[in-house]
Amino acid sequence: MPEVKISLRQVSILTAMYLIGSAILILPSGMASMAKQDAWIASLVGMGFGFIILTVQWQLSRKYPETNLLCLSEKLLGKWVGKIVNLLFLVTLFLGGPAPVLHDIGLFMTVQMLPETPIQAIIYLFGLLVILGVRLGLEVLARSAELLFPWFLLLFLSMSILLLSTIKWENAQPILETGVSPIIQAAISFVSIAFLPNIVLLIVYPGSVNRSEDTHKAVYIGCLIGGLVLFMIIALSILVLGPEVTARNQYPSYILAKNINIGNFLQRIEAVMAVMWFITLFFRISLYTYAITIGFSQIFNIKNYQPLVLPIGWIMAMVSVFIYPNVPYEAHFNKKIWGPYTITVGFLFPLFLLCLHYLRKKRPQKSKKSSNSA
Amino acid sequence: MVCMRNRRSTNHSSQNNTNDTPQAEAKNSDALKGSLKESLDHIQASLGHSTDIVIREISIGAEKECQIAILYTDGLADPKMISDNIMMVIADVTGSPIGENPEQSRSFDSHALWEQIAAFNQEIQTIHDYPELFHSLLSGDTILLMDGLDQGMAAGTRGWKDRGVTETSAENVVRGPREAFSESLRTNTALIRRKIKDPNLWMETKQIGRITQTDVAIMYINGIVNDKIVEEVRARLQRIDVDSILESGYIEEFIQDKTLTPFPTVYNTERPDVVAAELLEGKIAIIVDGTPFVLIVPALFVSFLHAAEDYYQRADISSFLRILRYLSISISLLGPSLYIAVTTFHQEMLPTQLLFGLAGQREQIPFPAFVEAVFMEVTFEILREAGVRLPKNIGSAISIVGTLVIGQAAVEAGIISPAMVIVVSITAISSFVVPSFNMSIAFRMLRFPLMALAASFGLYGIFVGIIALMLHLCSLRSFGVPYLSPFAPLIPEGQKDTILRLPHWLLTKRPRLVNQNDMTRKISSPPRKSRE
Amino acid sequence: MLSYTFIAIVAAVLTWLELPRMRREKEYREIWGFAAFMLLAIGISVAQTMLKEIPTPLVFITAIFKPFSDLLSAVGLIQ
Repeated sequence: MPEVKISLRQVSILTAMYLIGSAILILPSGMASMAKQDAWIASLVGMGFGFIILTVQWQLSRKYPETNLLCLSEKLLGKWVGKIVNLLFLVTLFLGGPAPVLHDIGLFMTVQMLPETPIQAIIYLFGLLVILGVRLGLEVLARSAELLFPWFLLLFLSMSILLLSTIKWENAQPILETGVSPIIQAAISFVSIAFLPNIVLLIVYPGSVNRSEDTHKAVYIGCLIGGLVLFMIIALSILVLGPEVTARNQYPSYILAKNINIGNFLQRIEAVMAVMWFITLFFRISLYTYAITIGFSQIFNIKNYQPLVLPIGWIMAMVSVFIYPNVPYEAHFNKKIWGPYTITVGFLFPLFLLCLHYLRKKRPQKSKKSSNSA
Repeated sequence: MVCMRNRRSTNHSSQNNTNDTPQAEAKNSDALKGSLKESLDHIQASLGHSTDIVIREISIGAEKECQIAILYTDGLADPKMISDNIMMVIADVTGSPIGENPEQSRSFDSHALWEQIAAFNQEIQTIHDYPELFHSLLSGDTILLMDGLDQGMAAGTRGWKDRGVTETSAENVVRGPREAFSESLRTNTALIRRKIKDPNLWMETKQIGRITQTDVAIMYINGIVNDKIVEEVRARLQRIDVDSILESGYIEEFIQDKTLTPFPTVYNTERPDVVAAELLEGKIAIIVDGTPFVLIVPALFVSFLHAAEDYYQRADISSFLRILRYLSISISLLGPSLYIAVTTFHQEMLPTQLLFGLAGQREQIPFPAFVEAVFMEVTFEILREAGVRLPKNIGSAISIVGTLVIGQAAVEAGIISPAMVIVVSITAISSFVVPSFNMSIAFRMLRFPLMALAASFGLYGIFVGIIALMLHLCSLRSFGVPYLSPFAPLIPEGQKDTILRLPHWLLTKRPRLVNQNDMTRKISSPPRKSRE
Repeated sequence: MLSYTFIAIVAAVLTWLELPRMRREKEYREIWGFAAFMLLAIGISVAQTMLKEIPTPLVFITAIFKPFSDLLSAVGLIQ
């Protein structure tokens, strides 16, 4: 593990960007199709669930400061079982994390902005950028996040403010028409994209922050900011576009950006707004890739992770091209399989490790008792 | 112009006196022996009987028992000083004009003569071996050798024609001092000492360069500077082993952090007030004899975008100008790329009227926007570089010819569109707003890859390029300090002096990452409102 | 044929970028890891060039998690 120290502020910003990641692009559509005009309530409920999940994840980490998740699983499950579990975890994470997000970018660009460019070119270019970022290290990523976050905020707030005039409040009514169950479903969908993959942060942060006992607080703050941004996007999509349009389109935030029109001269600036999503997508894929590379180097006891970045990046770019054969497959996978997978990996796995931890704490006492009584 | 020289400090001369046996043997063969004739022969042979080395042999004393030789380099030594400080003293002590009327000369003690000469000269050093002798002789000192004495004396008589303290050519200000450094080390260090009269301003000198033996001095303010950085600078200078150091640029290349980057990590300036300000912030100045450009280390990104004048004008003016500077740097980097991206891929972003006009223009141009842009940019770079080398009287004519006539003619010939001329001109002019040449060159060079990315991928390509640039900048360090502080490790205190320049009474702390010692500038309280 | 040479060129460039430094620092485990992943990468790219239509590896994840997914759908937590 390389010796990097990032500050708490950088942790919050990185977490916020990671959370917003691809969610800002693909989340409103799915949630609106489930909860219709109550999607914004669902996002708030989802945030609540999310914080419970975060607590479970970070409770585990706080018991073992400075050890990341993979070391923990090796410690609690035993060396070889832990290594196998980690390997499975990393491989599935790789297939489910950065590769689909990269594919999403390629699809988005090819469909909406650069129709005549082959998808491989777009994916490989972004892949090169991610490789550069991860190769340079977490410190560089954190500093760039600090630099880029104001720009993201600027673009996001300006988009929101410019859209305020086009809000139609009746789009959100009637409230709670669909009932509680679809709201819970949409909330689970929210959580599975936004909060459950934060398990990845448990691989990245421990051992890299200069004040590690306060890391979980910084992560909470980052998730709060991220969650608020997502809430605003979902609310805006519903209020401005209406639930049907939001549910029908794959990228409602892009449609939102297309609607900005100031004085008939500042219009069709969606390309500039797209930059905002590129920023968060970049950090999401970078953190995923960084975690995976660090993870693999830890499983094989390799000290310096940097040489591994190039081949892993190459694999990632290649896999992104064929990971989703077509869009319906992607939709089906996101709806049916991604939820259970992230629940397992992001909630059940840390819960399981926590139980193991408590069992281990009790067992020495048991053996002491038995030795005393014997 | 008279140049003074301090007594050489002991850490320097200790380089010459080593205790290792093989080197001591070599030094023994280099050491001065008592015989004057032998020494003079050796000196003449080593110098190849160069005709600008003057050797005067004098016999003084009643019985002409004392042989003295005086050596100096014609052109480097000041003849008046020689005659005043040395010849007159000798005449005084021996009691007669040299060589005449031996019967009037008094007997004297050669040691007394030595001490008298020492008393009359401002700088005196004893010479023990030939390397020291040659170094002093070829720096302009006068060497005195006495027959029978195995050491000589070097008197400081340096005086050569110098450019003197003139105005800066490259860093002009509207308000502020106009002095610039000159080519002589001692003048430059004196100019810095005039600005900072604190005893904590320390200086160390080295000779670097096997053949040129160039004097290089480090100056820093003890107590403010970070000692680790001083150690690092010393170590890096020690590592330089090269034949010649002709300019501070040589030193810059040897000591800069070894990363592949177009961005400069060492700052250079011609102005003493800039150097003084940087020293007060905890940085280290490296002064090289023979060039007016002084290096300042460690250098951060923001230093290259600050001008000296920012601190002399009022805070609101300076803040406005700084924002303008940051804006110009973005324009100079992104101008042509944005134009290419928008006209090729994102035409929907332009207001409809403008779109019609641009489309009409582009209809008649046979080349894609990228080719046009590259063509214009390269032409402009050629014109700019030519303008630097031209003599002053033709220079302005070429610039007018270049921009107006060639640009206009190209438009009329149908090679480029008028919009492109505007874009390229604005880009080029804005790249000159940056006060530092090497930073603006870096941005100008980076314009071309960004244009290529814009032409292939539009706004997406520009985004990728900018993120890559940002990642690269974030990974740079200058002598251990992150290059983009106070932006990148965000230091809220440091923000007072980056994009805006807040009034002096608010700038209470020194930059955090550069020095760890004395952080407060101890500024007095803000001005009180007067009661009317 | 062109694709194969392209793959070879990319592999060569990546190796040239990383191998000298690894050898200098004597990082032998890293060299093994690098080689393993490069082989995997080359394998996938050759497969992609030859087959043109690779089945997505997500089928494994789908297969493993299908029962859990059906359970959650039955409960009503996901659609």
